[in-house]
Amino acid sequence: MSIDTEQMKIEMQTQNPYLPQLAVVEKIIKETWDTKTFRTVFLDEGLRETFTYEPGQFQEVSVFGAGESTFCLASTPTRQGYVEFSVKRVGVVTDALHDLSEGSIVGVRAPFGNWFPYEEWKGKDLWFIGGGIGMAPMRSILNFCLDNRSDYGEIATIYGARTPGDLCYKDEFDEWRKTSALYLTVDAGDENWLGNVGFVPAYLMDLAPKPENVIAITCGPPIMIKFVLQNLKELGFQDEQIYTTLEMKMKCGVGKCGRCNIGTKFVCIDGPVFSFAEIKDLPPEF
Amino acid sequence: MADKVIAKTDLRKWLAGMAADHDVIAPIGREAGPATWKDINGTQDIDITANQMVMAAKEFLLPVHDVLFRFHTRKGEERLEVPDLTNKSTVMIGLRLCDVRAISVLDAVYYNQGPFRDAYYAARRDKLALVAAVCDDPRWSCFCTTVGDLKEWKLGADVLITDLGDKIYVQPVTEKGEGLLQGDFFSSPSEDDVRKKSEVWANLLALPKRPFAGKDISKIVSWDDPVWEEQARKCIGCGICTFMCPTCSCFDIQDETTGSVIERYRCRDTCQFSDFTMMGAGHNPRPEKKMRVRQRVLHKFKYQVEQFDLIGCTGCGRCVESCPVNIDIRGIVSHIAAEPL
Ligand SMILES: Cc1cc2nc3c(=O)[nH]c(=O)nc-3n(C[C@H](O)[C@H](O)[C@H](O)COP(=O)(O)OP(=O)(O)OC[C@H]3O[C@@H](n4cnc5c(N)ncnc54)[C@H](O)[C@@H]3O)c2cc1C
Ligand code: SF4
Ligand code: SF4
Ligand code: FES
Repeated sequence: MSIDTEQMKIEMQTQNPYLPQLAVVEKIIKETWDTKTFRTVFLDEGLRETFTYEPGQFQEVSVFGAGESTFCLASTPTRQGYVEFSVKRVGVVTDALHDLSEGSIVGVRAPFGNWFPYEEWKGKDLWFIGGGIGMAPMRSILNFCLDNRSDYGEIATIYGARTPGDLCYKDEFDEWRKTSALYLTVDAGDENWLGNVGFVPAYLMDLAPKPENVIAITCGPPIMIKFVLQNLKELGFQDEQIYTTLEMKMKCGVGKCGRCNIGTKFVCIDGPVFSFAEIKDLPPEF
Repeated sequence: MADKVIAKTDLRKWLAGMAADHDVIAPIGREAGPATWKDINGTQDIDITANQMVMAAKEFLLPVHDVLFRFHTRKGEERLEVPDLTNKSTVMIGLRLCDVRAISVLDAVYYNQGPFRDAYYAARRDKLALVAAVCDDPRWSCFCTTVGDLKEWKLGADVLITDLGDKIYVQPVTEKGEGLLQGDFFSSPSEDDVRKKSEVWANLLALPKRPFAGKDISKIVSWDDPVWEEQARKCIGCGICTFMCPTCSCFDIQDETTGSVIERYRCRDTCQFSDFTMMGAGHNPRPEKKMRVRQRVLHKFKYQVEQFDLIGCTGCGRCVESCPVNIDIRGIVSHIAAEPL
């Protein structure tokens, strides 16, 4: 191995999907006791201007020495120049991310995977139904649709967390409420909590959206998704009207390492976004 | 493109000629220890038509420790150092038709699965020529003719060689292959040479076949077949089957820090380990051994058939020979073709 010429490096960067681009952590927001949101900016000025992505896509983020992990792009491509992602602290890489300070260098490989078919949704009402860290990919598509507000009908979000302290993106709630409906719910409230108390699927039944001309997007823990799906069906939603993002363990993100398949489908290249019509045909192994 | 013959006593000259502008790698040391692929620089005597290699050709295309890059961490001087992938042209000589087929399967994954080409695999593969030996002495575990059509597989090679005793019959398959057949030690085959070569082929194609459904196995294989549970009871989950398999190529990515330099590399991994798919909060899509046994078989006999129209098993028998508890994939696929296990 030898150190390469500058030219070689540039070529490799465009051709080699395993090479991260260096980015600086510009801002860290502590969302909850175990989740932080990071805003990163590419060191390369050219890339900062040209880099774009679609809502629903994901990235591989490196903390050099600790390793690499998969995170949804939680920002919207309608706001260029930076990307944001939210990280729940669960292990080695997510620990290392939480220990970073503003100004740290990370590696970013992105964007990977498919995205929400927002073109097909134009003119329809949208219901976002999210729980926990599942709100990260939803924040991308929600903000994207709010930035293209006139393309869509009514927009409503149900967002649930264990306690009020577990809700992310609190700084944005007022912004969201200006042009869409926001229904918050927690499993257990506290003395200051004025919103709903109860699980997301039950709250969905209380709000009971009518299925006509509506797309439902749901993301969260598997158990929540299972009951949200049941309830949407009961409300009359068809499988084609319901979308989610699937999570499998990933390493390469580009369909090579063989880790994320569900039958013939690889979540990193055929997903992570699927409609329930597509999920129905998958073997029960996710 | 014309067939040729070369006397075995001239083999070294041919290898040395190729070694002038290629790396020449060949099977070394089945008797002397773990047999693997070595750069012989055209200077070593080898028995290139000896027998199937213990280690598959992926040893070269996907090294067990494959450096992706090094990251230099010194503050203010942070940079990536990329390995030089402008490697020399390489000739791999002595691989079997099953090994050639395995490379076709790896090609499908590493070039075409998803929108990205694997730069490291492609750098090696693009400059690789395959000189494949036609088997005259299949191993007890081989079942290549059951799972595939060797006449189709041979088109994946650049040159075919057949052992005729004191000489070797040499057939160029591609132009790249023909380019390797330079030297006055090659001569035209006699009628007798052609007859002998055809006999080797005929013997190979006449290998007894086991019950097998062909590519239709992808349609008849059952998710709920009790065979997964039965096999899982014996399986100790060691993963040797996938480590030895020429088409199994799942990998892990790791970082290793030495001083101010971090090396990121990939290394083998296997669907036979439970933590392969273990996710945060303890959720695991394949928590039971029977599911992992099923994944190995279905990946080759169903998923890859549906993805690439290729059966992902070449019948090389390596997993059969290496499994410590005698799990035999031949029995499993024959059972699926309705033979009682
Ligand atoms: C498409 C996709 C999008 C994701 N988006 C987000 C996101 O926006 N925010 C977020 O906080 N998390 C997200 N995750 C999960 C995140 O990738 C894992 O939590 C993270 O990789 C754990 O890494 P670690 O090194 O900290 O954990 P480790 O120390 O490696 O392990 C801790 C636990 O996490 C599991 N784990 C390790 N890697 C993964 C993985 N890639 N996927 C799932 N579980 C894993 C381990 O098996 C173990 O149980 C996403 C995962 C996928 C596949
Ligand atoms: S599954 Fe077994 S027989 Fe088939 S290619 Fe792999 S090692 Fe060879
Ligand atoms: S080699 Fe045998 S025991 Fe080991 S994982 Fe494979 S099938 Fe199981
Ligand atoms: S993450 Fe490697 S194949 Fe999907």
